[in-house]
Amino acid sequence: MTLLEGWTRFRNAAIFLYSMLIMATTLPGFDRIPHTIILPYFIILPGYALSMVLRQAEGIVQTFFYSLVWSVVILGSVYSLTTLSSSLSAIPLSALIPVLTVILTAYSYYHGRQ
Amino acid sequence: MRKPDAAVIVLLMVSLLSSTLAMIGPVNAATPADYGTINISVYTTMIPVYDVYGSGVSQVVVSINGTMHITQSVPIEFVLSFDPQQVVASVVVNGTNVRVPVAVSSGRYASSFALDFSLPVNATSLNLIVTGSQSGNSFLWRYISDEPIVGLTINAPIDESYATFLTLPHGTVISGMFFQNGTQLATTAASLISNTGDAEEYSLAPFVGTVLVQSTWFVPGSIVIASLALVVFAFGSLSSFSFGRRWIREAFGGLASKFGDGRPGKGVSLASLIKAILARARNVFQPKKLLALFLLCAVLMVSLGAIVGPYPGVKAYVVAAPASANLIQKNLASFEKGVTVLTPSQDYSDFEVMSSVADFNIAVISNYPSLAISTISGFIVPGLANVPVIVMDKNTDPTFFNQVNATYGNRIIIVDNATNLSPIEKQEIAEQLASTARVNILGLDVSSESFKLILAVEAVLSFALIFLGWTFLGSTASESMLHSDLSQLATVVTSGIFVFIFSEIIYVTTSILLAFPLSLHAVISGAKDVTAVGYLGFGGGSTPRLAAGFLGAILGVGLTKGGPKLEKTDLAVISGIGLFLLADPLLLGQFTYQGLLLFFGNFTFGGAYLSSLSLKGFIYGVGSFLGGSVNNTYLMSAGKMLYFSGLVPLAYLRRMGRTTTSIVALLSALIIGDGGVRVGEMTPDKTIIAVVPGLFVGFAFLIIFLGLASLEKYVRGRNQ
Repeated sequence: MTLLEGWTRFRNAAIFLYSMLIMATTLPGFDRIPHTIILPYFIILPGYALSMVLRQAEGIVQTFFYSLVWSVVILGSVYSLTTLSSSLSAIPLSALIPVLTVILTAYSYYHGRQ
Repeated sequence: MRKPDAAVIVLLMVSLLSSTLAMIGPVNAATPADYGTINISVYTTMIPVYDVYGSGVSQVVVSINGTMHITQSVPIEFVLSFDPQQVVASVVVNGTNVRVPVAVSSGRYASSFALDFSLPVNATSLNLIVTGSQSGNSFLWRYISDEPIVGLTINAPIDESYATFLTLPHGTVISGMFFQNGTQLATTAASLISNTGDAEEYSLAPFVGTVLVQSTWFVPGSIVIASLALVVFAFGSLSSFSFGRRWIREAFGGLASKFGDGRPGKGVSLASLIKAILARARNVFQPKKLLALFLLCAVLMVSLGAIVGPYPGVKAYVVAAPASANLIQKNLASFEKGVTVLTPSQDYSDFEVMSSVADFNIAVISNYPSLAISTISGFIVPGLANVPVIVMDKNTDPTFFNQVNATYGNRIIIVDNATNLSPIEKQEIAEQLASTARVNILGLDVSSESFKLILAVEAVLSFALIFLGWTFLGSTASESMLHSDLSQLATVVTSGIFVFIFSEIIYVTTSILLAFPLSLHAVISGAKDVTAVGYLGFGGGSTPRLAAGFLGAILGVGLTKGGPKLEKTDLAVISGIGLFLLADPLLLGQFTYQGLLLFFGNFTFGGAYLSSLSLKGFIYGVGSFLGGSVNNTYLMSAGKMLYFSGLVPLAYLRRMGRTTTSIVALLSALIIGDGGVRVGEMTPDKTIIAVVPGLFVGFAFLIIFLGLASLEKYVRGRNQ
């Protein structure tokens, strides 16, 4: 295993675990997780996963920029869609966004994008 | 062209009002039927015109019959969505037939007409015949017309029934009917009741709002064209792949040799001529040159406005019944030169914007119908802050009088009757007008005719400004394809924000200098003397601005050096798809047609309209997420957000595949062209709040386009 492969696996595992933690906040009894842990997830991770799929995670500035932009786009779009459809609004964002993030991460991994 | 929204408002308000008034009727013990029945029958004879773009007229006859038992005089009002040219009313009172005078007024709910009269005491029956006309639109060889609406308001619990009939000439078929909210109706909403050979008469369900008709030859014709389009599309698609090109060569090579040897001949000279023209054009289509031309056009507009403006006359906004508005104009003209009058029926809801660009010298408020005050007060009261002289008379609706008086009390000149001003009142108004009047900075006395000529020039320049700005933007996007993703995004987005805001600044500044709006967004289409572009026959100027923006952006992208090249095969594929969508007589074609009507016809119905509402809802949703419309200062505008959203895909052309580059360039040009229409809205606050949500919506669009590009790359990768 090369250093890059090791880093990729570690990163994906971290994203997966972090996503599980965020999804857990929707379950009863897990509402004591501090918001300071939850907030960075929504600001960065969904966008980071998408920028990996789109091969935009190159260099620190570009990666950071696209991670922020795509995160806001994903959150804004999902929020907007939930306002249009009452059936969608029943699904909590804390469950929907991590699921999407995990799917995007898995896609980028298995298609060898990064 | 009538705004369909206004018709919906009329119907809803009249229904609401009728039911409210019915509930507060004079007697509670009896049922409505005890007081009588009014039967309204609307007969429309449509004369469709089948053209690429045009208009037609439908003859409308409304027959109203009623029987009633009333013991006191009852006011009655009919609100019509069409122009009544002849009105004859008679009632039977104590067994004698009596003619009743009817007051006809325009401008009710902006673009509707009202018929007002009173049913006399002991009236037992009513007979009213209204003859008029209504315009419809021809677009791409189909004809669309709204069904006339007749609303009844009566202060008595009388039953009403409604029947609608439509007569069409032989050889015409109804291809679609739509409810007032745009939903498509089943074919059962129309039933054939007679066929004379020359014409067919249908009975329509009362809730039919819009009718779409076409000639009987339309379907076979469109099938032929759609089939040809599919052939073009198939050959274009096959030519994109090596096996397809081989197959076409083998299959048609022999055929081609029969018609020519394929070597350069006379056709080459034409091709070289086109190449030479394109080469020349490419010398001009460089971002720096286009930016210089854009700025030059802006400076020219402002310079002309500064030298010629302001408008050499007194412009009055008169809130009064139509008959009174004419008398008020005559009164003002008796002591002021060049008085022109605008009423709420002409500007719809643009008074606020018009007053913000110093369009009015004076506002006169008088006997505007009380029933209609609520529809206009919302935009009139805030806008009065920008009008230097406000005159209000004692015939004003008391509630509205108090509302205006409470807000602008110290600035209002209160008169007894604005239609008959006393000498002292005239002197006071004249002094106020003189003290607040703006004058030409060079002291020039520009005649009204010369001013109109300059207005026409400014109108042409306003379209040129949009064309040049959007061409610069397209050219910048094309040129920056050589840069990295981020710098390309930064270049296109900053250029796009600059172009929109700067164009809007120039529109606002020029309008203020001229004391005349260059354009407006919500002005009633066809209004000729409200805006500068109206003098060119464009009403508010939305459609030509869209065309200028779209054309500019697409030329900018296509003709700039280093930009995407449109291959013949891509052109064939895109043309095939476009032609098929236009000609297809089935669901897809109808959807495209309805979508085009949203842009060019101002008719809002069908699946495309409902989808556009969903898209609008999505844009507003993202806007809400990012702080839009939390208060009345920063209100969201879906159109402006749409413009900024178009910048993002435009900045990523280099990430697209060969064909998707062309498709995305076309769609981006359409999006920024459509959003760019809102430059004429002249509401900078809305622009500010639209930038950020617009850009994020653009990234959401980008995901879809990048998906398409990936699909194209995948298909080409497998088959090249």
